[in-house]
Amino acid sequence: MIPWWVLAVLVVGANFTLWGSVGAVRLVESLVRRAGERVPQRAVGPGAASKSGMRVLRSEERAPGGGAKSVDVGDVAVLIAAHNERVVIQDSIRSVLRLVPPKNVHVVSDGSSDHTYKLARRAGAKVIRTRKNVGKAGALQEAIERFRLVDRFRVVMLLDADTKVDANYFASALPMFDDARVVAVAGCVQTAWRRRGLSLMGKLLACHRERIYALTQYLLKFGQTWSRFNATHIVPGFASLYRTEVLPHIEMNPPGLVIEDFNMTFEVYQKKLGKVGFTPSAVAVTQDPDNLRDYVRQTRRWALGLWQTVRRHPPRANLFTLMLTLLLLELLTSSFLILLVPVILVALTVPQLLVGVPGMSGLHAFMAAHFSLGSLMFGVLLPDIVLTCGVALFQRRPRFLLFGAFFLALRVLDSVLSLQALARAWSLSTGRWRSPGRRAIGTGKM
Amino acid sequence: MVKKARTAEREAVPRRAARWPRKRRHLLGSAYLLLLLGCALLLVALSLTPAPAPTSQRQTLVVGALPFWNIGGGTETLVTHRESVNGVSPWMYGIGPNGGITTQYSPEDSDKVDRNLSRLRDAGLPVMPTLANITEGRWAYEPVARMLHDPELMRRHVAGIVSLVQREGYNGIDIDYEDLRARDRDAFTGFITLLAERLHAVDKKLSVALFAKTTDAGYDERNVAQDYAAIGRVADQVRLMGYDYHWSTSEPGAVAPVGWVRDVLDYAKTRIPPDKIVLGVPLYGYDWVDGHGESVTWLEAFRLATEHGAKVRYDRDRQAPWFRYTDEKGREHEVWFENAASSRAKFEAVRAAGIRGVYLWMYGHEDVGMWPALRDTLPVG
Repeated sequence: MIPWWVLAVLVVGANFTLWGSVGAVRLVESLVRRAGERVPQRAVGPGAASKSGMRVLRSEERAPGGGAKSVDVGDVAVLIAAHNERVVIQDSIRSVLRLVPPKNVHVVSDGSSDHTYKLARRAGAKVIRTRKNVGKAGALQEAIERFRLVDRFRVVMLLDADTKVDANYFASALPMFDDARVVAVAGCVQTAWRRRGLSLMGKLLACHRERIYALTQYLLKFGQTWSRFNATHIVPGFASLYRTEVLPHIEMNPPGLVIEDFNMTFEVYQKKLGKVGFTPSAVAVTQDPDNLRDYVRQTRRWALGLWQTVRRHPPRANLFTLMLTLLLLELLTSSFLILLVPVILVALTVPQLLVGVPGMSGLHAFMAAHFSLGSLMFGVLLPDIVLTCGVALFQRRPRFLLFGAFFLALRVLDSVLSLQALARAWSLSTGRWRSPGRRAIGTGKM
Repeated sequence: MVKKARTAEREAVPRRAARWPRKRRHLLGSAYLLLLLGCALLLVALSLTPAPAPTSQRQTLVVGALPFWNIGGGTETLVTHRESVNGVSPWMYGIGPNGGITTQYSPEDSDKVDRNLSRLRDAGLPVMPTLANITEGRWAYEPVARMLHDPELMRRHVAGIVSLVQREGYNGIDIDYEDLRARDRDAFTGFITLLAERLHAVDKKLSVALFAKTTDAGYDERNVAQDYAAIGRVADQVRLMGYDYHWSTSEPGAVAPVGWVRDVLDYAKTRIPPDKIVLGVPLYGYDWVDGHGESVTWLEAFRLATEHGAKVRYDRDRQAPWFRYTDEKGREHEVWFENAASSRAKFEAVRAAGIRGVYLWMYGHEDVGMWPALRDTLPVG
């Protein structure tokens, strides 16, 4: 019989344990340092931030290079790649215009067949069109060149058309660039919660995604982006910042890749361009798919993108490869094991189904000898519920508990999609995209 | 001015062109991903396969327990399936009213017994006969109890056993003293400890047959009398009688439901080193009628079902076959027995638990399909 705690470690994760602990040390360190700093933080009003609401707090931490001027919002180019985003583009531009000057907002419409281009212009952004549909990465690359963002700005924010940037985003994220080694800052993802008109399935999916975001960002990424052990596998492309000076070194649009953000992150580490910063207070809100079809499509795309990216980057003797190996090993192992859960459950609970099928009695005897409902309960269901309770408590959202029973089913789906995508990682793709169905959001609450 | 400074800054970052051509990079990346996939599959497979019982020195044990009434047929079977077994325990010694060791079979059968023992020895099977507290054909408490609580009698009994083992050239002895009382616990442990000491001194083995239980107190006084941990420390083998969960005077049901067997092994492993635990597997069943069960072999059960046109069903939870029939007098019978599938389930449980092996209680004609199942699950190599 497999002991339940082995199942639990296999299913919940060595990575959460490891990076969660590193994250805890990071937290303690920053608390100690903050307590040690007697000097109160000064508010600085740099050039473009003279208007109220555009102030950036400068961190007291000195850049190792010393002397370099802190990055402020005036130095940040916002770049939105949009493909048929008529429904959300104007809202997105308006929301980001509340945070940065209009001359900083850039939109590239990639092969849109709707009014995306016109609407973006009308909203006050600088807009260009690609000649043909080149895919998100291609569009970003083209826009960076045509807008000459590398020369004109110190930092570029890659923003998805459906993302709403929190008012605090820049105040939290930009000080991370005070450390000259930091070349990218990952935004903290939250899912749009209070969307009206979400079906029950839509709510479940949003809940599931939010749970994943919370777990991976607090238990993985926070630890992974500590300046001492810096190695994270993803700077998500939905709302993240890159120092423009590293962009020429990043191959943004290699042929065949379905998504660009894994690849850009891998490039940063494997080419030793610098470190990645992340703070949970640099929040941006994204729309997750609201129906199962879009969810499956998006999850499959992400999974495929990850496997394709892994294929592109040979391992090297560095911390990043070590982190990645541990992470992927666990991802694969837990995917296989999670796929087995329903099989075992059926074999154990509905043995009558197997009567008369040749060879089944041996299988049942094997399953029953190695697994019991008890060890499944303690090893798989309980850890899942404990994680859910933890997230619900942390986020103070009881809704997680309401949907708690269904997360495991979605994890089975995720595992299927992930392994399916693995097989497809050897076939090429054009990188062309189709966004999940968007809906207009009331501006009330993010 | 500013622009120039930025350009300079940009060039300060060393440009790292791809060190390898794209094709080679892809190949290396693919190899890495495939390696990860292989490792993950290996991890999953390893976590699902039972921990290999420490068989390097301690080989899996499959013992045929041969009751004297089946010594002819049983010997034939064991010789036929020689490659699947590596030990035999003829159940044939008892205790006389005065406490001396006797044989359970009648004197006129001794030639037959000797002949079969020779066959077993010729086949290369180590012989470790069983001594049970049977007196004149019945379980007897008194002779053993007297011995347990009288140091002089105990010493003589131990000496008698050791000399029997040496005289007959057995590999050791298997002690099957049943139905002791709770107050006999320490004395029984003392007896086993002394016997183990004396046998080991002459390079012989000791096996002790114990009732299955899932807690120290067990179900009855007889369970209290058997201290798993203490006996497990001194004996070479502890044979757990994983049978008669339902018995002749209980309500009808499986003789050894597999869930119970697993519980027994789980508990036993907390008390006894796993490589000393040998599970007893029944190869018989009962035919219950009017509140009484008559023991039946697999063959008898099969015949009963055929004669009465009864449909044999298989209880998946308990892993045992059963059927009902009505006899000529109109009485309703219920039969639970053992077959290849039910035995396989127990062999799987043994493998999963990582214990030493099994002994087969060879009551009579077993399901021949049991042998391939045994070979598959518990090969003795």
